[in-house]
Amino acid sequence: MIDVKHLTKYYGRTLAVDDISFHIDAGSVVGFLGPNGAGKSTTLRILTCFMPATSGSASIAGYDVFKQSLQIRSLVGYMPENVPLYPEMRVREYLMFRAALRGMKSKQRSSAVDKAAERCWLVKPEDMMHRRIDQLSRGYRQRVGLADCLLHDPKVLVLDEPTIGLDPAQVREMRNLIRSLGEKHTVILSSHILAEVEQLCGKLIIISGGKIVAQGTPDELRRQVSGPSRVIVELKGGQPEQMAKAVADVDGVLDVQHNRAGNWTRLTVQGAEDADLRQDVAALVAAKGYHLRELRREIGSLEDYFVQMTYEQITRD
Amino acid sequence: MAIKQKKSVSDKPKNRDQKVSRRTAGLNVVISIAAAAALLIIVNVISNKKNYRCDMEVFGRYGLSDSAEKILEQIDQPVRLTSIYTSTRSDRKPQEYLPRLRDMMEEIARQKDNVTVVNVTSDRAKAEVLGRLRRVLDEAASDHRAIIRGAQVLDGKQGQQYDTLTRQWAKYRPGGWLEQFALPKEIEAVMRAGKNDLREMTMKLRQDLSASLPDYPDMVRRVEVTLAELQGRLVGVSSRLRHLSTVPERAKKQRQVLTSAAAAVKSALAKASACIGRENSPLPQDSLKVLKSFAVDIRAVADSAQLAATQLDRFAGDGYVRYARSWRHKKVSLPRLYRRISGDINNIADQAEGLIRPATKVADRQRFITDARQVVPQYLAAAGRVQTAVNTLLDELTKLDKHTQKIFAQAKQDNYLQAQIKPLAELLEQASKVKPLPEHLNELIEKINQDNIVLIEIGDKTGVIGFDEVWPLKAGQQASPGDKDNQQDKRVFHGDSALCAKMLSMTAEPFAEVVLTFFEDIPERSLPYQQQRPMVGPIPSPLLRTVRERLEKANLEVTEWNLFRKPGRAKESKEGPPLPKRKDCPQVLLILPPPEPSPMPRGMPQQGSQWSDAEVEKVRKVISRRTPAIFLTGFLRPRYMAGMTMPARYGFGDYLRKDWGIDVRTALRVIQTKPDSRAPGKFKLEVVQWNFMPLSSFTDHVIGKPLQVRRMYWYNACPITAVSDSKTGAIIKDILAIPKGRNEVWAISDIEAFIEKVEQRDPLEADPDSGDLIPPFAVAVEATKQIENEQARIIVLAVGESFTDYYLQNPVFKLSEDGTIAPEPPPVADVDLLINSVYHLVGRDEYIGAGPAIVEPIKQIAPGTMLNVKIIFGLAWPILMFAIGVVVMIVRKR
Amino acid sequence: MRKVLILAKRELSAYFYSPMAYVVAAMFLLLVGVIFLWGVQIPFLKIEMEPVFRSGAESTLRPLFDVLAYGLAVVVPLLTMRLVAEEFRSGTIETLMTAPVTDAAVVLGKFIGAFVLYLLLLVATGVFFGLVVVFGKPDWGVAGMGYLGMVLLGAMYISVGLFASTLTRHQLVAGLIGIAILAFFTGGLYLVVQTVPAEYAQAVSKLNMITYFSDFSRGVFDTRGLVFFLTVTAFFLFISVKVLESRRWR
Repeated sequence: MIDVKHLTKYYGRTLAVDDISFHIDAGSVVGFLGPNGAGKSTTLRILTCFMPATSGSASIAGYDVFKQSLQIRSLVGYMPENVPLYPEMRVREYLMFRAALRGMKSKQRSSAVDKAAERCWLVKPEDMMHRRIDQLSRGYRQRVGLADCLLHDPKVLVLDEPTIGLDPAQVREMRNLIRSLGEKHTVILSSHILAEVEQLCGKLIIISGGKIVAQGTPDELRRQVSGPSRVIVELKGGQPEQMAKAVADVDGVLDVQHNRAGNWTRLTVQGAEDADLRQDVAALVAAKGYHLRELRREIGSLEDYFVQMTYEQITRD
Repeated sequence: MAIKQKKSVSDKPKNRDQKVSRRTAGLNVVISIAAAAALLIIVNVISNKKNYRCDMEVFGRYGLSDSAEKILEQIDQPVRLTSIYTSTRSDRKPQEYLPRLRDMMEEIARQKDNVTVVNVTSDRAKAEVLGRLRRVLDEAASDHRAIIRGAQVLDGKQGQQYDTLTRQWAKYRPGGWLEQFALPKEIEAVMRAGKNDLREMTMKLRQDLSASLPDYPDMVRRVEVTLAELQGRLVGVSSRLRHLSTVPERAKKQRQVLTSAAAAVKSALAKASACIGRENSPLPQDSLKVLKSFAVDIRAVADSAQLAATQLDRFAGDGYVRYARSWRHKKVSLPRLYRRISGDINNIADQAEGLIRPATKVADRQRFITDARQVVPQYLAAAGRVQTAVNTLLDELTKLDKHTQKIFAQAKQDNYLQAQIKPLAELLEQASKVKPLPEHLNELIEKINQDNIVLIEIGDKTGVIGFDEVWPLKAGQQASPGDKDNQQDKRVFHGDSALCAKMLSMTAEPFAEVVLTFFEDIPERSLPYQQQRPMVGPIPSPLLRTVRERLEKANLEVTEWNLFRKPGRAKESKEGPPLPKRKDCPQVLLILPPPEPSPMPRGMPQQGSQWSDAEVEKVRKVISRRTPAIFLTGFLRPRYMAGMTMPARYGFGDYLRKDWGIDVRTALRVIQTKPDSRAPGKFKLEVVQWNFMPLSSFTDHVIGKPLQVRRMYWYNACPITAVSDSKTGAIIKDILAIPKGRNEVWAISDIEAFIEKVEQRDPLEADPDSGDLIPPFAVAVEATKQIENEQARIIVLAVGESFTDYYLQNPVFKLSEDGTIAPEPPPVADVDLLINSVYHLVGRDEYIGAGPAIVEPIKQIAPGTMLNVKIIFGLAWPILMFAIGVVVMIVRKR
Repeated sequence: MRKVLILAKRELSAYFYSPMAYVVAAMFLLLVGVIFLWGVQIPFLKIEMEPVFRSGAESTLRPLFDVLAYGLAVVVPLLTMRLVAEEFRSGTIETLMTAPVTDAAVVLGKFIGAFVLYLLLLVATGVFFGLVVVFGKPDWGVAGMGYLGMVLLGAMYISVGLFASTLTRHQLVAGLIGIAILAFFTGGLYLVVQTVPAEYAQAVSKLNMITYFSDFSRGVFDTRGLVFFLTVTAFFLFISVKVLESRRWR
């Protein structure tokens, strides 16, 4: 559905997107993840034909972003970051205007607006259709923006930071809405919050410093993250060095690091992949007669990975 | 799925790619914008060349006016219009003033195929045009040029001769015959001056000839003056010499007579002296007898002295002998000396005769004899001295030296200096026969050196239109001198009518002859000491130069008809106006108010020296023979006599009243005041409006309609009313009228009382008096009437002295808002009323309003209405807009 | 084209829904009213103009138009300054330009929106013409040509103002740029004409917008003016499109 190859974008002399390539299948919800300024918005703007890329190519549903921009524009629904709207208009006026702009016949327009408004909870529970946009709360503005995207029932929805600035309840509603949209449309959303993307998206593309640092389903990514297992032990009852050495001698332990935690000593025990060393360590502690305060196995989170990847990217630059 | 981590390609080549693509994209935009700009320019250049222009204005003021088109229709000769706008003056920049004119000229060229338009903006092109004109002028001025050439040749030939003559006279032998007349020095000076004058003249001529268009007539005039002066001097020398050449012979001939006369005086004296005896000799006994014979002798002396004086005078005649050195003895001329002697001697004779009577005492006689014995010898001695002087004179006059003899030989035959005088005389003779240049060439010469002119060439005629004619100053906008920020005068475009009127007057026969009709006796200029005051009316014809000029520009000719005939020269008086110069050219009389007959005529009252009904009768006859007339009149100042105020009498007043039913109230003066803004219903007198009355309430009459909003000022106007129950059958139409209800205008009957009254009030409040005439009345009317199946037509313009040069050539003073009095350009537009009147009377209505046409003015708006309009449209309307906005904002705010 | 009209309609409604249009309209009418009924007297600047509407004056709006030709060089940029600059500032340009409309349509739509508002302003001055009709007898040819000139001049001014608005995201800056450009091509060129040599002065004065307008204001229809106004309008719209395009790839 969406094919991006070697996309590069400079803003003047600054490199914003650096030779990225990815592919998105139809009917999936894809999350663009990355810290602020990573190039997410730029990529999305290129995809929605708001701005041309400096080099590379991109196509949506077989249409070239650069050459067939009008076709793309009519099949993409794009909600920019911060949802810019005309403040002096009323919600309905705005949506009607947008519908007209999308080339709808005046007959369809009204029903399309009603439908989109209903999906975005603009009619119920409270009818916001005749409010002036500059009097709407952030959440409602976001909904208006979303409704605008949905007016023409686009094949592809591009949502730039759709949940930013919403309160938790609104965030949840928004997520539900996006999830439901994912059933029918191809959705690309960007976010700098991993948890949100993890829940919503079938695929994640992590961007940092203008480059794709990782992409895949959350599970794939998570698996990559876990890597060798670790056991964290907090002990008391001996010299830290001794205790570390003792643990290190346990079979299957690759490495032990120790540091102090008050009176206690904290050991980080590295084992081979997939190994669970907790039992062996517990046995050793019992045998030595140390006091044990904590013993747990640590599995790598996507969050760690995200931070790690983006951190790496930044330090490498 | 493995992490697809793209290895970043090295930045450098990519950066270049990126730059290239940005550059091409940028270049594309720049090129496309440049292409669009080029297209923009090309399209506009083409559209500037091939444009369609069409004047949507009803009057077509910015295209060509109807009258201009009519004029163009008439012209069937090829016309070339050349604008020469090359001024470098900052207040007449071509770039500012040319475009409008060029548009208009092109408009004319579009209208008319045989008109070519040339725009000259560079000095080189101007020089070319001038070169062409120079050839035309040179051809027309061949006579003039011949004279100028002749003068130059003369200088070449005679310069040498004068030099030689100067040298000859400088070398005149000291003590030569002529020296006694101090002549050689004088003649030398004449010769030297002759050479210098000629050289100066030719130098000036050469300089003038180098001008682009030399003023040939002026040059010829100067040649004439120089040559005539020189000729006069040479002829003087020549005739003096001729006269003197006769002197020696006459002296020879007269010598006998004169010497004997002188000798006679002496011998008579000697005889008388002998008669009374010597001094100290004893007194005669018979004193009576001695005295008797002495008296006779001494009387003879007086007579002979008188005779000598007369003979000397007769000899000298009125010739140059009197200037001879020895004509005088001790600064007294010889005849005078003899007369003195004769006079004195006569005295003595009288005394002697008085003593001859027997009754006189012997002692007295003897005393007389004693005295006479002393006195007479003195006279004898004097007579001797004078006799010597006479002889000296005769000697000197007869003693001719050889050099002078030679000169006299020529002079006698009237030949001396003839070689010089003859060519001068011939050239002067030739110059007096030079035909004057055609008027249009004179104008060309006069105007060609002005800045920014338009040249019109039709056939072999050329016309020049000056800058001020095309761009006259706009009313009220004249820059005040010294005001540096606003030096630029505001000008309005008038080119359309200026050009077309000029072309009209160049091509068309004059529409009519305007016959200035007046009754004036102006003493000739050659008698300056004559204490005779000129007899003229309140509008003297010599003061109508501006009007004449304007009439001529309006394609009319101007002639004069003076109704006055000099007493004794009755033959010169004509019964009618002069015959038109062109056959069938209609005439219009422009009749000035005649001077009033003086109540106490100076000298002998003579028939015709005073205005009388006979003159009115002449005019009446002409008018009834279908010649239309315009009567110029106005308020006539009353006469003050012996403490009495006598209203002035208008010479044609009775005629107009009786024949036309028009009552010209010349004793009243129309004034215009301003409504007092502070006191409704009251009026303030504006002092400047006293002299400059801005009245343009013209009716829709064809004459006045185009003038309705023109800036016109009137001076000393008087009201015109119709005579009630007049049975003249004349139809009177108002041209300039003050309608009923215009309260701020009225006519005052007693100026003195009025001024006195106004001056006492502050601020110059004015109101009509009982004797004053309040509107409605007219100031200009037209009247038509059937006289013996012929239509007679007259127009009466009672606008006073508004057409005189004084009024039309001096600035108008206008009170500005801030109370200062500012000068404005002269009210030259006034003349249009006259021109339009003439056009109308000769049936050329279509040419009326050839000047800038006028959109109908906005009506008089009452102050109250105006205030309402201002409130509603100036304030309420924008506020309403604002209020709508507020309402919309409130409605939308929800 | 339909989309152009839709955009124009929105633009127009934006004018009417914001106080700006009313403030400018009120100011404009006040300006016209003052010139028309009171005249302009600024002794300090040596500007002196009698009221257009006074007893005895020519019944024409021409002097008013002649002054307005200059006045609009200030008023029009105030109206047009927000057109594109505001979209950039608020970010709505993003939704606008990702909708299926071309840049040209956007520019044209905004132009028409502003132009219709301008026409409404002109219509509002009709009351002054009405006064002239009631109290005088105006020359309809001149009035018609004057209004035609005002319409064409306004279109050109708007295209210039619109162009200025595409250059920056700050309304005020856009307004000032617009005023500067128009001031140069109206009054400014008079100064240039006076300084350059005569042979160039001719060409320079051809650039002056007022030169062409004065033909119309005095009632002369000239294709030169018509072509000039229309092509300059088209040119500025064209480069506005180009600038709008380039602002996205820059």
